Amino acid sequence: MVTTTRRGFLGGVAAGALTTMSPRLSFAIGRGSFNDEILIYIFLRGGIDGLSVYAPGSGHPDRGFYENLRPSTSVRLPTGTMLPLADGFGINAAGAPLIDLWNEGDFAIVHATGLPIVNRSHFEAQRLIELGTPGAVVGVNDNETIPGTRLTSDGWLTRHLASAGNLPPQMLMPVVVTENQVTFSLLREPSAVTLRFPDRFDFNESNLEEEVEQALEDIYALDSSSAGVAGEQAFNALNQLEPIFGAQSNNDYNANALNNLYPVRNDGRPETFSDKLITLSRLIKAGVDLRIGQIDVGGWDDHVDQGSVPSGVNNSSGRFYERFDIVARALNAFWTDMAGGADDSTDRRSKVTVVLHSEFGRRAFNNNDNGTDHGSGNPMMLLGGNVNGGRFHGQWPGMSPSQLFQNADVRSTTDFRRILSEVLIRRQGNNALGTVFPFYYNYQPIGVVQGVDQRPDYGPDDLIQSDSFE
Amino acid sequence: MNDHRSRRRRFLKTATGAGAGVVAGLAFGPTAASAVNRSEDNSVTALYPAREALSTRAGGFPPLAVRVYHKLGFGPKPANPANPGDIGDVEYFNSLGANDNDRYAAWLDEQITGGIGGADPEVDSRTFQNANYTTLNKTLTEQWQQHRRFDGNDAFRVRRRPFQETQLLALTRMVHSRWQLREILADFWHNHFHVDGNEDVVRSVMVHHDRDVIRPNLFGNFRVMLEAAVKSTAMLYYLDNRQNDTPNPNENYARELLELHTLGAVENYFGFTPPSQVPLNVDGQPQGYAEADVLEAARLLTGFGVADGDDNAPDTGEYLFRPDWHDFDAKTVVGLNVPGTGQSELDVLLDYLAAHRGTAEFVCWKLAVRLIGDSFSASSPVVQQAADLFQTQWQAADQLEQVYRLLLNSSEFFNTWGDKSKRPVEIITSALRAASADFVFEMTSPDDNAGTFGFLSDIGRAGQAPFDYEPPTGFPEDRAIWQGTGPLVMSWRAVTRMLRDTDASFGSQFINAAEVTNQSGVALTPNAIVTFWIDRILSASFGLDAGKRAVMLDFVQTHGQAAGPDAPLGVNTGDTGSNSAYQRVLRGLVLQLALLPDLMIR
Repeated sequence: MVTTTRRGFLGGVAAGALTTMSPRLSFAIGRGSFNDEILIYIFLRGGIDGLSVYAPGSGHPDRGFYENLRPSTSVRLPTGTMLPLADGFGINAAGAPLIDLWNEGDFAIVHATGLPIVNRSHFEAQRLIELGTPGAVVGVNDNETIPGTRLTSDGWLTRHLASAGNLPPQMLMPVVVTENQVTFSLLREPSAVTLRFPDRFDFNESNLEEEVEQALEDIYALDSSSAGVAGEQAFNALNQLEPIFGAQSNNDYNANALNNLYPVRNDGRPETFSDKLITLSRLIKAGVDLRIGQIDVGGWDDHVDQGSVPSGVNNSSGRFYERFDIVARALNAFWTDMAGGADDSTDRRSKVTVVLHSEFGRRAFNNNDNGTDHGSGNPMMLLGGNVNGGRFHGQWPGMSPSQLFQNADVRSTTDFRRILSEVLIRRQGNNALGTVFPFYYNYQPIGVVQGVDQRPDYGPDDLIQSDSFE
Repeated sequence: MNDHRSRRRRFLKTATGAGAGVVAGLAFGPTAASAVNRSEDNSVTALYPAREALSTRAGGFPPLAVRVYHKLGFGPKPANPANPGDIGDVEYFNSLGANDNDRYAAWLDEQITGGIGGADPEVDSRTFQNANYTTLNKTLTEQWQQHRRFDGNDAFRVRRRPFQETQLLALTRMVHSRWQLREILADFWHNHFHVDGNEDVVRSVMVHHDRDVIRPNLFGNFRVMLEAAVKSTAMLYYLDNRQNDTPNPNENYARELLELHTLGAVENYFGFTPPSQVPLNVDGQPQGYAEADVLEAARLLTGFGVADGDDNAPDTGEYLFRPDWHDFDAKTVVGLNVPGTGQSELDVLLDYLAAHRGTAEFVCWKLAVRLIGDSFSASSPVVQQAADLFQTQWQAADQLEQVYRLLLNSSEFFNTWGDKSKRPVEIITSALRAASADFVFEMTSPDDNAGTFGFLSDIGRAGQAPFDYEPPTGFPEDRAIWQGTGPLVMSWRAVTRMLRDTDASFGSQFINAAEVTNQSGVALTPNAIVTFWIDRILSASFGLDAGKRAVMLDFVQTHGQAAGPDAPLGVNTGDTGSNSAYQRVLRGLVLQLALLPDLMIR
């Protein structure tokens, strides 16, 4: 058998162009044009304290309740340093870079989103959200509660990709997870590439590297088991990624091509979140047909010494503050990058929607360790060229004792699926809600993104749906 | 109508036979009302998919000896031609009896006995007797005072050293220990009682957690291990119970105690159900726990902390109960009434949880998944049998050994192969064992500013450096998680680098495949060489696909410059230097064998 190198140069490959790299899928091309929008789904793991992201300001009727609930001055946001947003709310001073995006109209916040049935277990809540099956509190009969299930074998994004009728039959690298393992939202998505270290994504053998890679690639091509397919996919990714990232690491790219646009650590290397955004940015620019990017940002489980104000102020650890500061600066940098303000002049913002949220928020009151325990309602943040930014969406539930959930949490007022569904329908053009979010009914757009509305398709064989949709 | 749903937007085909549902490692019987079945392709097939174990090889399983070493060990090691007494794992297994049943029985007995108290010279010489390890014999208090409290130069490295040495010790054991089953179980229980070794304080006492909390109890009793874990300084810091005090209890550890260590959130978490309404199990006890139980448990666990010099306590880092931090009111946890007696309340609670049906099913389910295959649920027959035994023997000193024997002698064990995907640590260590890698995983010196083993960062980038994981759930289990491009490529990269590097600071540690080949006496033709190495790494009766063999044969023939498959190699086969043409060819062959898709499963 003659071995040939199959590394091709990856330029701006047009959608649908054939390559020699991936096996063919022959399916009929759908009617209408293809959707080329990119959704970046960012999961803030640990349960972010929404009330330390933004809070009622001095003019807001809930300010008094907020201060009573949070006597800890290292957790409570002080009126003096919060930056005004709208409706009497102020954002944590660390969020200043987001104010620019807010004022540009590209950044929005949805109040108090969450699960339909409160769940304070990280393990459960994350899975129910990412698998997209948290049940329902509104069924056929209004008294009926359908509990959530963690038994679904695939994630909500997996099912979105399976049900979207407007994607080209071949895409080079449509799904990228910038993590060590695939996340639950993309569980069992065959095309998902897990890419935590893109510039080390090769065998790094000193001799005969290409020949060994080629031989193994040939071996894996002969194996049709799940291991064989996974391996073949890995080689596919490897062949595509090396031309992009082999020449320059993200570190060098940020320093040289982007003039240190993204926030870096003390040693000059990009912060972890920066690094992940840079990976996605470079893939977008390389034209790999990216549709879904998924990023994890961890560390939000602030039970002890939360530090919502800067380090040293009121004995604060500053940990939340610094974490949020990095998020804000990195998102701002990413947006400049997408606007074409860095190394090329293409403005991609109208094609990108970023959604950030967490498995739950935290208690309205702080605990005895200057931290907070698990809660429920938490903000969803959206950034995009078609986001109706510069304003809040959803319903602020209030913080008086009677308005809190169990006298403890900011109450969820919007099912998180409503926002994700709106993005899928209005941006990705996929209305197959019955497939993506089983047991989610009564979808109505909330107006956080622009786009053409479609009637939700609640699924062909949904026993409960029957004729409850008009 | 829904033709768009029957299309698949993928850039790679999916596996034949992989259409069966893959449960995210959390399978159990149905709970909700209607199970909605969706259509045939890759969309939601069923919300309660029936899982079948995958058999990924047409033509049957590899020999039992091979399967045992990949499932109950970190892969078989081949013979050492330079040392005739060293006959290799597969041959050793086959020498233990006249048939597979006898061999396996003998192997299991030996591994259990040896795991409990057997000598481990290959590990000892590289670690305990290695001057570059300085913390392995330190007491908890020494670790606390000399590392956790260290404030001099290189403080970061000194505070972190116990964690790093524990990592390196774990890797050494996976690759070199004779007691492979013990290492599989240590890996399991560390994951079950996971602590993030990177964290402050945890990193300084990690040697204690590994040596004194987890390892003494591997073949013993769960109740004993559970108490050791509750009182482990590492755990008390990792999940914050050391500062759990009345009147504002910290619920972090209480939640994980119920959710991860005992009853499990898989099927035993009842959210905001009032405890009185939680359904009862066959023992007449509440089937699981609710939110209110978490708070009650948090109250019970107040005051169980660490002697950290705070509040008149000595500064030893040892477990300490502080009565003045404890809530002495009565509690009700998962239906159990616990009067406020103080420290003994912990015994009452742990006795209850250790004997609870929910715990038995949760732990046995996890063991079945780790040892046998991904396709089990708590209601699977073998899990139920194991849970029965776990429960009835909950006070037996050899409870866990009995449960392992039941699982490992089950028909499910013998009939399951390839249902699990190797995780990075297994891919890497099994490749190193297959290549007879002689690594010493060590710090660079005994000094405070010592660097760590160079390849640890490569192993870390594959996503599974031992104990290096932030969430308390420990490393995930299911194949769907690990069969991603990232884990595979980064694992392969780690293996490639480790098999080729000649970093002088660690001595000559490259794999001299050339020397091994020459010492074996085989003819130096492509066919003979390939056959020799297939036999070494896979075993003679593995039944490797002919097409795969042909790829390797072509590789050796081409780059070894042989005129034909049975002609001698053209490269200088006398040159066994680290970078000779001959060495490169053989190293490439070894890599292909170690990273075969057939060996990415277990």
